[in-house]
Amino acid sequence: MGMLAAFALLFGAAYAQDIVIGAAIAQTGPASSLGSGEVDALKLFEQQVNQAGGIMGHNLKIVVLDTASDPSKAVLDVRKLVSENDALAVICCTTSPESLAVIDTLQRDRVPNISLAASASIVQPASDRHWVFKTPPLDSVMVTREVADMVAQGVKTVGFIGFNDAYGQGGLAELKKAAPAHGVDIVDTESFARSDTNLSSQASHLVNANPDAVLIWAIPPAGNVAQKAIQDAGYQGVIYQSYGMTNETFLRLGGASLNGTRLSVLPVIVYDKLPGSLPFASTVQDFVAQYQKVYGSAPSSFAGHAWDAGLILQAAAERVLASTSPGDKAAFRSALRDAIEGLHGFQAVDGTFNFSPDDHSGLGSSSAVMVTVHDGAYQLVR
Amino acid sequence: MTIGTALFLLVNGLTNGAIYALLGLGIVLIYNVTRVINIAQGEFVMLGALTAVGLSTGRAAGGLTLAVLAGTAWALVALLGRRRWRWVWLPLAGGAGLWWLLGALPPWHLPPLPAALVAVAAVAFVGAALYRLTVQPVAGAGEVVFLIITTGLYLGLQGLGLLFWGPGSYSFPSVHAGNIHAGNVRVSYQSVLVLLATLLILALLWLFFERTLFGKALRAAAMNRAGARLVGISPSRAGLVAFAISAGLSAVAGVLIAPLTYATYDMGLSLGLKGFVGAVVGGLAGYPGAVLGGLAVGVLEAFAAYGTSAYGEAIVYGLIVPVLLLRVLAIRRRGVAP
Repeated sequence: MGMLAAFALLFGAAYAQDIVIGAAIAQTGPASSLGSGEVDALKLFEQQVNQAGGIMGHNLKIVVLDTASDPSKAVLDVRKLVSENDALAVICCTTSPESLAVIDTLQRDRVPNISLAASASIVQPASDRHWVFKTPPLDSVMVTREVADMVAQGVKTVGFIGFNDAYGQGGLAELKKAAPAHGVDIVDTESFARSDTNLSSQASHLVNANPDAVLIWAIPPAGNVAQKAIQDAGYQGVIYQSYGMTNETFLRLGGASLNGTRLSVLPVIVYDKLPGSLPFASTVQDFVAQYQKVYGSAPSSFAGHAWDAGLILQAAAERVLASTSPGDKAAFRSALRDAIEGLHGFQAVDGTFNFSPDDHSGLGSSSAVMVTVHDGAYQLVR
Repeated sequence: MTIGTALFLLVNGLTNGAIYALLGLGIVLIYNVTRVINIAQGEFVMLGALTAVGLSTGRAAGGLTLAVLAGTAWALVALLGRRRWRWVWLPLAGGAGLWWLLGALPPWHLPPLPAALVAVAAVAFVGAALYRLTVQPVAGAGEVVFLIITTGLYLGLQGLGLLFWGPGSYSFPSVHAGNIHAGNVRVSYQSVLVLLATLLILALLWLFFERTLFGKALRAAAMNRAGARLVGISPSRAGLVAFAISAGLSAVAGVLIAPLTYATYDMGLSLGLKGFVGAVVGGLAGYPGAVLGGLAVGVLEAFAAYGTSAYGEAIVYGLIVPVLLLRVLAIRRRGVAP
């Protein structure tokens, strides 16, 4: 009997068509440190799904191509994945410029895509982004959480200092929306280049404006340089950092000088401290445990974005397979897209996804966890 | 802007300016003696800073590895140039032995000062070896060829920096941490150290050029290559010494700036460019000009970043345009062919 079941499974698996997902990831180039974690997560996801019997008996196949962090290479990759590998959906790409570059191709070829990049313009306006979704939370979610915390801390005025590129200015744009809505005044805005090593001038301008809090929107080590400069200029107020700072460099470089720094982070960063009341806490911890078992270290937040892209496509494919065969590619892609848009209350690593025709990001405020830094570790703000 | 803020910006600008001045001095020294515009000048800063960090924190002492590599290649080139094939094994064995020794030694944890001195010496040696290996074989070539060579050096050294130390950023302990408070102006001890060290180096350079035979020979080689040669000064030796001193100066700048900021493999280019702007502002000829130009760039940068942070860098780099225009106009007025 058992043998018969095994036989049936074997035959079933042999005849069931593969579900092919294409992934165009920055495995080399400037964004490779993000991309390597994403590829690791996707490989692990593919293996786990297939060990558990695939997606309703269909083998999952994730084809990964390298974009070299280059938008034009990303477009070529996506074309290849769609036309040669017959991908039913695409996970692309690691960075915002790449993700924006491939939108036209995907819209024309009618292939659903899940981006792993930050920018809001990847999924907005939703009317022009019919086939495009993304897993990382929007800057607005992260900034709004920080502004809410400022209000709770009694902060009335805030100074901003951030990169003069898309990341920093994106943060500033969201702060300009969120701060007035919460009754917080922006009294000074400063910017700097990623390569700047001396920010004393900007810091002293900020400190002279005397805000109750300072929000730094950068990544390490520049964000550390900014915080050091502000503290050296004699600033005594509260310092906020952005979720872009959450890699090990931030805590290692900053040491004890970071005590009291506040920031909103993604759940996966504080996986071991998440309260059980969060509906997705077990999803996060499950992911981290599996990742750690295979790779020996805790996953980056980027690996979490990729894992979520896998979870979302798996859930959507399960719904579609009941009625549509993956052999009919056009119909399957269209149904898959509709199924993703229909996911509601879907628990994943980055939070609870609630997609809708108007919202292809789907993450709400629960994805931003407020923490403080204390002695080289994050502590949850209750 | 209050007086306190202005003083703070001034001190800060002078501190950075002193770093640019050291770089500018190195650029001018190399240019005067060899006619090479060294794009890779900032990479010596990176090598100096990261080697010192490596020596004091037990991370890879990449600068020493590079020195061993460059020294081996130098000795090989010298032997092959004289067709002494039988001795080729000597530098190869020596280089391999030193390489093995570097790998076998336990991680270094030198105090900051010895780490800095070893790093500066290693980088000065690397500078001399790079001159011997890349510039001297084509000593008669035009400035464009030199420009291409040093651009290649810049790319190569930055790549090696990434290979040795990875993309991380490292801090280097200050010899004396803390601030001096004068009224409501704070000056860090490191800033004072940077300014004092720069003054000391200027004095030493002045003594070297004015009081030693070799320094005078170097000046002669810079003023008139053919004439210097006629009186028995070797232009290639002069170039060698110019590169060594210049690389050493930049390494000193790297060691000085590392505690103020973080050292990364890609820190060199923007520093080198600002040093170059300072040297050009100073006329790309005289050493006092390079120092004043560097200080001016530093102070301008500090005030520009305070006034309008978005355009701080653009103002500094943009400075080069009006300065060059003024120079051309001045030359035209004096009737000297540009």
